[in-house]
Amino acid sequence: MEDRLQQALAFANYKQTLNNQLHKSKIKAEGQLMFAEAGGKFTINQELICFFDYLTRSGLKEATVLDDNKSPILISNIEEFLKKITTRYFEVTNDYLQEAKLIKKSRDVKSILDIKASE
Amino acid sequence: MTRGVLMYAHNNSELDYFRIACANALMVKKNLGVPVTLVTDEGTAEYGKKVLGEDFVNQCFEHIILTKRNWSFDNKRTFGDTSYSAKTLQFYNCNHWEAYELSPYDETLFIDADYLIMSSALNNCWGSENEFMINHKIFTPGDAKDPYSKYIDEFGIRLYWATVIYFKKTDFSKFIFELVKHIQENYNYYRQLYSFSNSMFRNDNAFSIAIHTLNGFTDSNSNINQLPIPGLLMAWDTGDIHSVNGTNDITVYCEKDIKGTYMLARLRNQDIHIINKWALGRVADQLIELYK
Repeated sequence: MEDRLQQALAFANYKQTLNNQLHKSKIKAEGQLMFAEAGGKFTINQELICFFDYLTRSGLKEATVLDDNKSPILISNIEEFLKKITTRYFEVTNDYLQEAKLIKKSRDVKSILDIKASE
Repeated sequence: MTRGVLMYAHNNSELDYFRIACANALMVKKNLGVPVTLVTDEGTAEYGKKVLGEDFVNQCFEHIILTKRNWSFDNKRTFGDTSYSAKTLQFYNCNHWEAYELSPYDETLFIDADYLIMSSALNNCWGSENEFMINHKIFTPGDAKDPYSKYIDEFGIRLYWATVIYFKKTDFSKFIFELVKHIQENYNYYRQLYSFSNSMFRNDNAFSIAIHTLNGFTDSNSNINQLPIPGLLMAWDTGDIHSVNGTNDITVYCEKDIKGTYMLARLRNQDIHIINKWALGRVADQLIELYK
């Protein structure tokens, strides 16, 4: 019984470390998805990308939009901005995926912490 | 438009903030690519130059600004080194309000020496529309909670963390720093007014009260925006640093809810506030070597 209890506690520790490490990767990705442009702050997500894709398709070259702080920001080159946020989005999500995969396949605390993530 | 980082370092009888500031200045240069100015006192600077070498110190900082130390300022703080060891020492932090005047930059990132810059996240601040930015959201390396806000008291106002402040030299920023000075000079009064029990002067409390005042004594944060990061990562002094694994890569011990039980967390490319100064002192030389 004591062995089984010890195993359960070790497993609990492993799960807690794993969840915590995944959480830190998530927060890091969220931070990297914050994007500064023309003095404004934008969180890159699917919604922002779709909105700017719509503006580009509508033929607009520049537009005033609200940033995360609801401040009006003039984006003077919509197409370029769309390109920048899309590139950043995939860079971050791909890194996050790689890191999460490595963490998830780790089978003990030591391997979770020894993982080699992409820089 | 000049941009740079401003840090303070005032040693006490045991903690070498100067060395920590040197390590962090190198980290700032590597990750943010901007110059660093240090505000310190004569004794601290002399000691730092003597033990680390003047050439090296000049390599770390663009400017070293000497301020006169107010020896009558008595501010004792318990510096923990995990839950098992603590020492009460002087905590000299009474001159942060001077940052506005002392900063040589048009845009300043005013950071605590123990907030290790391990990413370029704060570069998003430069050129911001906001004149002043400070965070109220924090999170910790040892639990999976999303960034959250704290309050200066159970029934008190929102707590802003003066660990990292971005400001431009504008009237609005000046008002805030002037208010912080006033609050510090009348700290006992404000301590009673805002009902916080700890008598130790904290810049976090002073900035929180200043922001509350400038918001017309409301807790809305309409005047103040947060920094472009999800929150400040806080490693409490109940934990320790396990190892420095490489550039922008550190493993920390975090104490769980039960005293004496720990979890490890590895942090890469994430800025982190190490509150255990003893732990930071133990790895400062290693960080210097790594980022030199």
